[in-house]
Amino acid sequence: MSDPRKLTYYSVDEPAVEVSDTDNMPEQAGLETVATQAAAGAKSGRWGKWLALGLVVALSAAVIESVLMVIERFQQNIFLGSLWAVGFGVIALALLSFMVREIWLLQKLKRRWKRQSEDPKPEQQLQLLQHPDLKHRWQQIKQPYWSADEERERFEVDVLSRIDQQATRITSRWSAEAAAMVAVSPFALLDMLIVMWRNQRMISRIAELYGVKLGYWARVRLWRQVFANIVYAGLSEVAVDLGAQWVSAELLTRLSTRAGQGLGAGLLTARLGYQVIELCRPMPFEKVKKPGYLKLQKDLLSQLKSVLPFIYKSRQAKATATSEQKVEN
Amino acid sequence: MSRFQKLQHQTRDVIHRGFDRHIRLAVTGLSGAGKTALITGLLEQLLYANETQQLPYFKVKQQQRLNGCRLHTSSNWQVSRFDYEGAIDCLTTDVPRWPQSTRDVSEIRVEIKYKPHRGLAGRVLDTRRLTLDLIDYPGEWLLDLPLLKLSYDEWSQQQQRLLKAELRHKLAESWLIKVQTAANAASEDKAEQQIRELASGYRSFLRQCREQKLLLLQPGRMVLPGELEGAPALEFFPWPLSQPIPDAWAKRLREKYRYYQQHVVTPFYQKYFKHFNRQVVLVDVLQALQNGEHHFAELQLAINELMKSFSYGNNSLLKRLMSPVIDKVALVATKADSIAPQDHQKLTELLRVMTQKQRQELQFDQIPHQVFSVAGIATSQIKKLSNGTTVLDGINESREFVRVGAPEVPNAIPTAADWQQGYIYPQFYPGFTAQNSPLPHIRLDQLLEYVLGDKLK
Repeated sequence: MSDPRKLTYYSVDEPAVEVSDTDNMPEQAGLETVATQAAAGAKSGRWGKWLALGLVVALSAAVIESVLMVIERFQQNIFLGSLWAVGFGVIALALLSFMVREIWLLQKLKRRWKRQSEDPKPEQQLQLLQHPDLKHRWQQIKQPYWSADEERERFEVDVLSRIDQQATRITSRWSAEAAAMVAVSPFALLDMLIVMWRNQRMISRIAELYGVKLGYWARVRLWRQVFANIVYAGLSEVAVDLGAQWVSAELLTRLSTRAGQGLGAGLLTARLGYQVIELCRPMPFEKVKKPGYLKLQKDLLSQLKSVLPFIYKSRQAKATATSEQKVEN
Repeated sequence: MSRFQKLQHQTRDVIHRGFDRHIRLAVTGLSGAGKTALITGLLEQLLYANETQQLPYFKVKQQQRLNGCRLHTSSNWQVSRFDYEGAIDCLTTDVPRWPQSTRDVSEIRVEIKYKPHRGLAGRVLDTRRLTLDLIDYPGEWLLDLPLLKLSYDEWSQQQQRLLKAELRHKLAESWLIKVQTAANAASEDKAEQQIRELASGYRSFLRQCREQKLLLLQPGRMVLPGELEGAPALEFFPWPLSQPIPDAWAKRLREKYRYYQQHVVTPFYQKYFKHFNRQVVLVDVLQALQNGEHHFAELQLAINELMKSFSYGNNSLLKRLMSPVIDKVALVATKADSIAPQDHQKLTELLRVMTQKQRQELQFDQIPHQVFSVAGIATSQIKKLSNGTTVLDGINESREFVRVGAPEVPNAIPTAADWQQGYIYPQFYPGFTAQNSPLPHIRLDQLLEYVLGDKLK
């Protein structure tokens, strides 16, 4: 600093940018850290190493064999040989591009998770989100005098919360659908398939909303993370949550078992949805309240009711009909 | 008819107070702290709340529950209305300037209409109203309030301590000599005359202090007499010497002092200050830094004295009706537009340190309080040069557009070496046109939310 007793004046003609126009911040951070993370993730035990070695050997054997085979075919007939070569080439290329794409998408997701724990600027996050309307909104409200903390808070409350709302809506809709489907499906295997299928769809919808594109492996990672979360961290929570919701006697007596099964599936789907929201969100929940289960249960019930009117009717029917009438399943 | 109307007004006020729908906001600050600018800014933001994107922290607006605000006649019909329109005119004419410094008390009332969303009101009522009273007054008079708790002798002792400070002592030297010689020749029949002369001497000493930008000037009416110009009520002065007061003078001085307390300060306090239930304490930290160590210390002392003369506590229903106390305090460092945004934090920190003692008291009494750095009307634009220097664009005294490098703000109370070097901050002038409305501000939305937010749920 120069002499603090004097103000430094600058020429007015010199180009200066408004502080709020820092949109085009270069994307930094993340790349090198991802590399280290990948290295750390590679040590997956003794067996993994041997398995990898075996795989590499088998793969190279397969490659050598196919090359030999192509050469052999060339010797038999030039036409047949080139056909085989083209075939293998296309397959190899497709495989390669698939792998590159997967790796790239996985890296991107990892970078996003990494970023969640860091302290990124809202402008960078907006770029990731790819919502032009929200970008516009942010430019409108942003004040140049805000400190980083204020910026973060405003970004979360005024911008990100809108996406959260959409995502919550999707979650509740999807889980209601899953609930309804499970409720009407006749056997267990179909239940499981339905849950798998619906959950898969929901995950990609939510991820899309937050601007995360999911490849196969990224999805697997997400699932792993989600299950780990549910099983390890969330087990007690699940017990409390579900317990409170399940044991609520009033609810149980009003539901047929089938519908109850559906409701359970719905609640689990919703839990998954909320986990996905948390994982895809560019920053953790701070000033915005996490989406809750209390309202969701009510939503689910009302939606189930509209899909399956017989849920409630069962009780009324029981009250009016004779005692030996079976509760319908 | 008008009598009936007045009664109606007053009844409604009592009902509002009872239901806690009435906020009387004490905007407290010494002269030059920016009270008028802050009040103007607050009014501007409230009145245009629904037209602007500048208030993201003001929840009632952000949740789109605000129907609107409008200015309203105050029920205190003897007090002149705060000249909001005049102030805005000043700021947006062809040659914009700051509104003139306040010379008299004025009051304004804003009615805020909103949709409640919490509690019983949220279920039953469609809209609800909150009345907000803002009172502007000369900061000089504020310093009279501490006098209410002091006797003449206590006050004199306090002033003697102040006079020991270097700058004051230098300014008071000639007056002190006069007091000394007159005291030696004090006699019963000449006493009246001598006291009058010395009092006018004291007044000119106070005026000199003011020119030197000293702050703790008591009694305030001697600096800015208002309607008391030339009145005998002002013919007294604190006893500045260590020797006892001559018998001939003692009774007269004490009487005058008591009269001043009872007939000048008490009515002022009763009329305007008693009914406050929220407070914003404005402190111009930057100006004090620029003026140097003495001023800084004096500012600290003055705030300390000032906050003693307000009563803080929690308002029960009975208390709300009979004698409300202040139940929430915002400590505000003003003129945040003359420093870079990344220094705002430092400014709040500095104010936090300066008001440590008072904050501890508030903490002890469990009065919610918070520190902000704010500009009621922001006159500068923050820009960044290509080499990363933060600069402030604004208009200077001679109406030229200038670009100033953002000055430094100390992290903590400056040390002696820092004071040697000194600080300086740019003084920007308003350069607005009528199209700029609502005028820009810094962090008024957070202040509004803090002061009013809990009543607008």
